[in-house]
Amino acid sequence: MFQSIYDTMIAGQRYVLIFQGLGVTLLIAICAIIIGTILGCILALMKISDNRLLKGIGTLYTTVLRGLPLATQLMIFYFVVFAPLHLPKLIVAILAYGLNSGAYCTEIFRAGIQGVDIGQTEAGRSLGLSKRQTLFKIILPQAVKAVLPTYTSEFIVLIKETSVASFIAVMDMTKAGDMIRNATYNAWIPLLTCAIIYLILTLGLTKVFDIFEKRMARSDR
Amino acid sequence: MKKVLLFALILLLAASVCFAGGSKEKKVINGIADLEGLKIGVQTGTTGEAWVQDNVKGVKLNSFKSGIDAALDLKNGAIDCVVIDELPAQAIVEKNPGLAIIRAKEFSDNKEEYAIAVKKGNKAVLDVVNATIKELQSNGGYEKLVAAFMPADGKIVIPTIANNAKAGTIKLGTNAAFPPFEYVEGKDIAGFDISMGEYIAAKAGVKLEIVDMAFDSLIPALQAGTIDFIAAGMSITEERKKNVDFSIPYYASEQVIIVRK
Repeated sequence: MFQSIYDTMIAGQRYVLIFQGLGVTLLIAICAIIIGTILGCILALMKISDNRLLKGIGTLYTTVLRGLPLATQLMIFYFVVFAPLHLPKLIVAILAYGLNSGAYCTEIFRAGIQGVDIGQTEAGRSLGLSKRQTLFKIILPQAVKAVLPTYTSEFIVLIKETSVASFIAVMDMTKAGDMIRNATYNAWIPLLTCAIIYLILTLGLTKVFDIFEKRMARSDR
Repeated sequence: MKKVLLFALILLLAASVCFAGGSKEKKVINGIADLEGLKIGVQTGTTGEAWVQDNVKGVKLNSFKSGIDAALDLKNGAIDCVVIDELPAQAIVEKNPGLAIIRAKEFSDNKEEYAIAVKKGNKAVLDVVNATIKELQSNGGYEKLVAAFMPADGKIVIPTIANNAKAGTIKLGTNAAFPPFEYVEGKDIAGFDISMGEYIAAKAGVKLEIVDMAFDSLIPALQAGTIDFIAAGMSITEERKKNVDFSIPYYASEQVIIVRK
């Protein structure tokens, strides 16, 4: 058993592949969540605005991006949309995941904002705050707290979904596992290694966001 | 309640063992005629896949992302045989003593030729590729590559190819699960096609970048311009000729059948 782990992972420095893949996975996930969060903020505000055009754009965006499977989307971005630009495939992957995550973040944020009791808006407005002031000073701080758990799960989903990046030849961790499987004819060691690392990542992330949540909950008491 | 659950679990286990055992039942395969109605594994987008689809009656086709995954599934007993190119089959069987190769006359009568593919109309790259292949065939470099990657004693020595290029890259698209033409050696991608790609890059005066992707994504990637040429043990077919331009052929191969011993 230890011998086969050694033969599969250590010999020929194959573990390096896993680490390279892990780096790519993390890079894609982190960059994508940043893009997604920024996009989500903008689009969520567009969707709750009174302007019909802005609202329409927001709705169209979330409908299309959430309505297509991620693997399909990724290939559309790589082979069709960004193909004429000749961007590096890692950049395309980050953009594709970011744009996709943006759609989910939009809905998460919108739900959070609209979940704040309407009385809060009314109170703010009757205190003489402008619409904008009410949104940024009263509604958003409360929404952030409400949104955090769902936002965490979006981040976790994103990390896991990077595993289809190999569709466009990005060497993420799953692909690294694939390459090891193809080189060693051993399926379970590379796959289990990847599985454990994904689990550690998602567990760690959940813990980190748990701490955030508890910090924010302090002001409730 | 616990007892019921336990019982159900045991039943489930027993059932799965029965079913798994059932599919492992040995099928006698001696040639193409025996393939009818079997579960056959192939690699997506290969000539083997097209052949099985067109020629085997009642086949249950299992298309895998790589031929090696198909071989793994064959080892696990989920499929009955794998139809794949000769040399990758030899590499697979060499590392998996439980598998064996069966040759068929129909396959050896219809040899396939591997060539490098470029985007339709991309004469600049095609000329470099053809010039490189011709040069290798005339200066003995080709024989050296064959000796390096298909040695009689099975000990592959990957040649180092000098490339002094400072700027610019040319992108080679491949599917690194096709030994000895392209495979993962340690943490790098190596193989006959890759070394040939190195020669092509050196001739073009640029660096080589290897892009590893699914075999059936290679032609779309070429058309989208995300790779410059395909070196992936790709056989020349009429269907593919409609979508890409092929170089002069560099290797003749045939399909074989891999079975469990």
